[in-house]
Amino acid sequence: MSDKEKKPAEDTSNGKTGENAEVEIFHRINRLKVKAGGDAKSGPGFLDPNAVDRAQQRIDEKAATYPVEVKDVLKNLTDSWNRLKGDTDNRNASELEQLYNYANHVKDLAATFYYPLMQHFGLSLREFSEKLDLSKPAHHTIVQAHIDAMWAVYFGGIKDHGDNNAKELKEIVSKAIEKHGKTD
Amino acid sequence: MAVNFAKLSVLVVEDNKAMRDLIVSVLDSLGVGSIVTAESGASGFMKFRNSNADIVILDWEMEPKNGLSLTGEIRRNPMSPNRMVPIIMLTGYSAPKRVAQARDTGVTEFLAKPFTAEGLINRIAYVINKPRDFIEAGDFFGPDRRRRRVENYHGPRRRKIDREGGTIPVDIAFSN
Repeated sequence: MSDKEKKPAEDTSNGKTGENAEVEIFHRINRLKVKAGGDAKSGPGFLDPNAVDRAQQRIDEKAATYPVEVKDVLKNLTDSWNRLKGDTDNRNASELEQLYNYANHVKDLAATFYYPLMQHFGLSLREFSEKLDLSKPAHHTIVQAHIDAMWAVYFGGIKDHGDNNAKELKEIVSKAIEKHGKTD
Repeated sequence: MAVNFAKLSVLVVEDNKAMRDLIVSVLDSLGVGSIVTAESGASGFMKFRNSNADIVILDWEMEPKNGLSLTGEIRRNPMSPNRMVPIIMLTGYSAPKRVAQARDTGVTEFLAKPFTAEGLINRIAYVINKPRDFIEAGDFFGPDRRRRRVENYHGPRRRKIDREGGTIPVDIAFSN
């Protein structure tokens, strides 16, 4: 057997798709497993039982950096929004994409380190960014409400949905969406 | 045999620095020998060409090129050093439609954020222990999307083995 890729026995580059497409199957020797110290033909390799614990410990240790990391992303998100505000013709697609990505980053970070309230606002803003129309002042109000709420969560050190401040912030944002989102 | 990660190289493509650092940290704790990072799909392909990593872990949403485009490039670009490298997509999108889209582009494994160490390690162990066959069919080139044998399958039988009814004619080794 060769290590090099061979052309399939049949030419499948005929552009056929769907039911008429020919299918070629490539079997491989499991060189990755051999590289990882195993035998390609033996059973599955096992993991050091402590590996998962060690790795999870690394994640838990990283949780201490969350406030710094999320603050950086919130700054980027705010800067991105400040640049976008004046673009009432919706021409700056790449900046809009940035806003979406930063909201997504906030959501990912908050979810990973278990900050459900921040995760909630990150996800909500990410979803709203998909339909954001900068020509509509109401949409500006909704984005601003999200960003203000995120900063309030950050400075207030609010972690989950439970306390009154959290409930109040969620209500402010959901009312903004309810009130201004209806102007579509 | 215990999986030894020391000789493996992993490419991590993630635009969020904090998440990238976190993934690197998990890989480091496993003793992965070489960890290469990139901030976007665009630089990711260059890094992949230079490193020829054994496993690629990537995010979906990235600028200027996202993880899905990078997957397509790794699978189909003739400049790709290993079109069959295992690709683990780690993303905040877990809707079935998104998973199917990733699978149809050639992603090997899918892991939703927030991820746990166990989740990521299991995916890595899976691509090492159970590599899937690769399929070329029309526009698709990627890992076999059939994960299990369906005994009462009634759809079209398009595979060469189905038509010829014999042994699989192509049996080629590829370096991982």
